[in-house]
Amino acid sequence: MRNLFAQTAEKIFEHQISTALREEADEGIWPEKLWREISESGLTMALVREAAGGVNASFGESFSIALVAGKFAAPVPLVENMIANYFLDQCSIECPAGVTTLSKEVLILAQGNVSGSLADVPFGVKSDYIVSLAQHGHASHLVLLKSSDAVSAKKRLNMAREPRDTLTFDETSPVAIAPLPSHLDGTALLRGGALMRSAQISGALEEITNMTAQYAGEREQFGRPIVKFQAIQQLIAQLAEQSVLAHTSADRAFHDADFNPNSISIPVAKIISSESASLGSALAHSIHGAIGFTHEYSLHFFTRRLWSWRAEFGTATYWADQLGNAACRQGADSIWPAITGHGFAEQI
Amino acid sequence: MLLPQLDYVAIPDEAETLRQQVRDFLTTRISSRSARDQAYSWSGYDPEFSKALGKKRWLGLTIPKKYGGQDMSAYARYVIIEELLAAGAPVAAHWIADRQSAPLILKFGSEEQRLKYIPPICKGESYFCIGMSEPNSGSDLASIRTKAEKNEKGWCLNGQKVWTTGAHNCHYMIALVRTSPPSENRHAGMSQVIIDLNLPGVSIRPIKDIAGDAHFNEVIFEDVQLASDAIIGEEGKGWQQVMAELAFERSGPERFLSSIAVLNTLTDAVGKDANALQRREIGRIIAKTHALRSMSIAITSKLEEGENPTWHASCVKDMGNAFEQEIPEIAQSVLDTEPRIESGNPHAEVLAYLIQTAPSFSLRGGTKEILRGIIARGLGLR
Repeated sequence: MRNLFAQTAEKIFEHQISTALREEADEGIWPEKLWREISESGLTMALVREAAGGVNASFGESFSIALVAGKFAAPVPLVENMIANYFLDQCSIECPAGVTTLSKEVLILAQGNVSGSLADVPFGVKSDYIVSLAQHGHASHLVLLKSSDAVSAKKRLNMAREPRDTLTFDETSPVAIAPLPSHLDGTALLRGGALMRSAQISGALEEITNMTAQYAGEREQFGRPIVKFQAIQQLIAQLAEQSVLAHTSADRAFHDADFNPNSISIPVAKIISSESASLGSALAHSIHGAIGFTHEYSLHFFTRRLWSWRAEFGTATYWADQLGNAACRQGADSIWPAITGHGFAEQI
Repeated sequence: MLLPQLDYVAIPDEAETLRQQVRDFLTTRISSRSARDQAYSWSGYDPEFSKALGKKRWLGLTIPKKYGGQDMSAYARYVIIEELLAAGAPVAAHWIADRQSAPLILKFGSEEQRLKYIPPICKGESYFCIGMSEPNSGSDLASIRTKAEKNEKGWCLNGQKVWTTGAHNCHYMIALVRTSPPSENRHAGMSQVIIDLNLPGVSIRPIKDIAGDAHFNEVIFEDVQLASDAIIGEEGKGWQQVMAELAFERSGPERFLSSIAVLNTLTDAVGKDANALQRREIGRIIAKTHALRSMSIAITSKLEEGENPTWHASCVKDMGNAFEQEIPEIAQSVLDTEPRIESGNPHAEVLAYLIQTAPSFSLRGGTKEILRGIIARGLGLR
């Protein structure tokens, strides 16, 4: 299943995504044809149960979808839609047709209506629907909102010029609402987004590693390709290491797919991929020299995303603070069992 | 270029069941050891402890029963050794023998050699060291000069090995030596020989290290007479055999857990009042340990399937060693503790020990430059 997903996604992206399309997306033009092919392929329904019209794939199988989305710097909310649909289905809410995204923020729920602002919503304005959490007292609910029901919408862009909008709702009636099942809590959507970003970062790191090795083999200085110099080989080796570390850690988090608030494999994947994004981008730019800093050369489509994604759904610092806090509260003896088991005894 | 990615594979349940047994054993056996002793990690020598592990049948896990092993999976071995390392158990006596000598003899040795050498290893009674480096051959291993010359009784060994960890406590050395003179193919003409360290002509001199300990040695061979069956595997194929060992040597948890003692003492020292910087750095260390462990387990699955994951093992060792070296530096930077040789403050003592020994982490078993060279070659860059 994993390979099938990877092949399906690769086929669509290879066919549809070009430098021109990425540049248009940078200008705010929505890639309608690309999105239509993605929707028709069923990739956004990968994590939804068959009874609800989905593919019923595991997270482990779906890892390759998010990975390939990152590898191609796909300028669409594929992973957001995929994970939003998962949460809808877990709450027995029907997944709507159209573009659905998710928010890490929490709204206030009163008398069946929701109020508050959702910041940093990926493709928020462009999307038809937003999945968010809403809280009433201590009880968290999952809500499906129509983005056109927002009372205000502010368009914002991350460094990759991907929309990260702020939408405000005021006593808005959701399209659907359901209490969270017991295995999910108020951090579930944040964790879901972090999980997706860790895979996208891994895919983008793999791509820039390949681009960098290829460039170093072509670029000549001192009468030979720069890859012949040990100094360059050692840098590329370190770039490859970062790519592999991020990949295995993200794959692990998908494999575990543990949204439990005690668990650590999703926080770990986000910390590791975010740090690898920093190191990897720096190495790729260093080896490319000035050409990598130009708009004409494609490295920036990936490095601008890496610098953006590492900060989204929790920076490395945010998640490291969560893990460190749990360890310091629960004592040194809690650390090794947390690493070898399923996380800390108490929630992080 | 195609980047060889590493997919995660979980440890199977039947191997996981061993974990609690090992923890219970360690609680009764070594829980009174000081943090400073735990910081020795796989440099802590205690033959009684090694024999106790042998009695528990936790050595030679992957070795067939016929040779005294347990015929279990590489995962079972992984669970046991990572629990030993995390607890700072004194595993040095049997470490090399269990990790690579027994698997090497099993893979390349004759039936007689297997039956002679492997069962005592599995009992925790027979200890091995590895003879690789020489005074003029460090990273350039192929330039070794120690030679074994054929004579009527077998082989006559002359030369010198250096930085041989544990030689003064070991019964045998498996050494890479020249069995024919250097030729144009610099990787040809070498063989692996097994040397009884009690033979006449062998002298072992401990070398005091930077922290005042003597874990490594110089070993000198003067007309040491080896029997004709001293060669392990094929004469002239020593280089290839050594390379095959590297995946075992470079991918294990000992390549990223050497500083875990200071993570523990630091966490307890800062406690519940930890500030934001301390919490973040402790969280980062936990995350990186978790991630490197995922890679190391994924490589174990490749070993289990009989693949040779040398490339990925090099990645784990390079990143793991840099990480082990970073941890004491982080510990020093986030908490005002002056390192002390002896002070009664466990954190200060562990810090003092690890700051001094950290430079060796990226030297033993292959330097970072050599590893990155292997990684670059694997990517087809050289």
